[in-house]
Amino acid sequence: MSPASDVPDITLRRWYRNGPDLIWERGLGDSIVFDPRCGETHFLSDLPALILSVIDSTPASAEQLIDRFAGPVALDSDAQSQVLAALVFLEGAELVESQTV
Amino acid sequence: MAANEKQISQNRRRLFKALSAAPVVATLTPGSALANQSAFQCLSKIIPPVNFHPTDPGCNTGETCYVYQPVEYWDTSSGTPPAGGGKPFNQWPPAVQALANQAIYQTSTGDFFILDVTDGSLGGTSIDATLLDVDASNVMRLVGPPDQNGNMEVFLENIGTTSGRGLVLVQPLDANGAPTSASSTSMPPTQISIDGAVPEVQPVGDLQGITASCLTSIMPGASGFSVARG
Repeated sequence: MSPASDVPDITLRRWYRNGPDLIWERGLGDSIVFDPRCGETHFLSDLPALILSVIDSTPASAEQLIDRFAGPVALDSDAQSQVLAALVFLEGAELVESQTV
Repeated sequence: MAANEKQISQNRRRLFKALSAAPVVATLTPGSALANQSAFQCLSKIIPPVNFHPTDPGCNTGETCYVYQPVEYWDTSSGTPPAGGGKPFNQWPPAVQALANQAIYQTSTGDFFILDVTDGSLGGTSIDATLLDVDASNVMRLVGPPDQNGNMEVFLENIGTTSGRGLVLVQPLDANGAPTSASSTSMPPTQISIDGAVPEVQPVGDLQGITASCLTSIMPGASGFSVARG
């Protein structure tokens, strides 16, 4: 078994977007975003849409991204996990990229 | 309460509401992207040798000839269009700009790239040519060589009136009908922009080269190519 130190610490990641501006369509429920770079359309629930809206080309931690949107907020561990999960989903959809500091 | 503080307060409420539901990201891939993936598959399965016949009516004996489709093309540079009539990127129709970003181009040195021309300049992600299973003697080109000014050109075709635009497969041939090296830079753009013939493919023994369905995947809706079976 690998030692725990080999597991990347997701909290050390910094998230950013490197690409053309996304095209947004916001309705009453989910958001729809079109990525002109690849021609893909993404359907986002509120949390990833909210986070994506504050991601720009400057790498930022999950905490910094939340701060951009809602100011300093103390999130419990469950909420932090959800934010990180949303970021992982966004990266999986190639809407954002990340780097580890 | 200041307007900014009010906005922050509203955003906090939105945040906590959003945190009450699981994050979901669903992706819808466009047909053109799927077709491009299919084109990758086709290119990866081509079994050499594939004999393309030079049917360019403008090709004279002893000249390097090309299998070609009549094309409209757009110069990826933002400068003056080349003599062949290409248009700079900022004059491309939006639909073509979007398609170009999913196209493959190959440099004169044989490197494959995915186009990224949204900022008006060439760039993008390098592709390992070995993944496409092509070599210097049997190179499938989706673009032309650099023009006299060194600018790469993307060759796209308006196929029919309803099928939209598709990628055009262009294969340079020498005077004997054999594929030329990817490093050929002698073809002026005007040779490819005239109306004319369609590529023919002959199987070698039981081996089929590029197939009709493969061509269709590269040129959606194409109605004007033939596949010769021996």
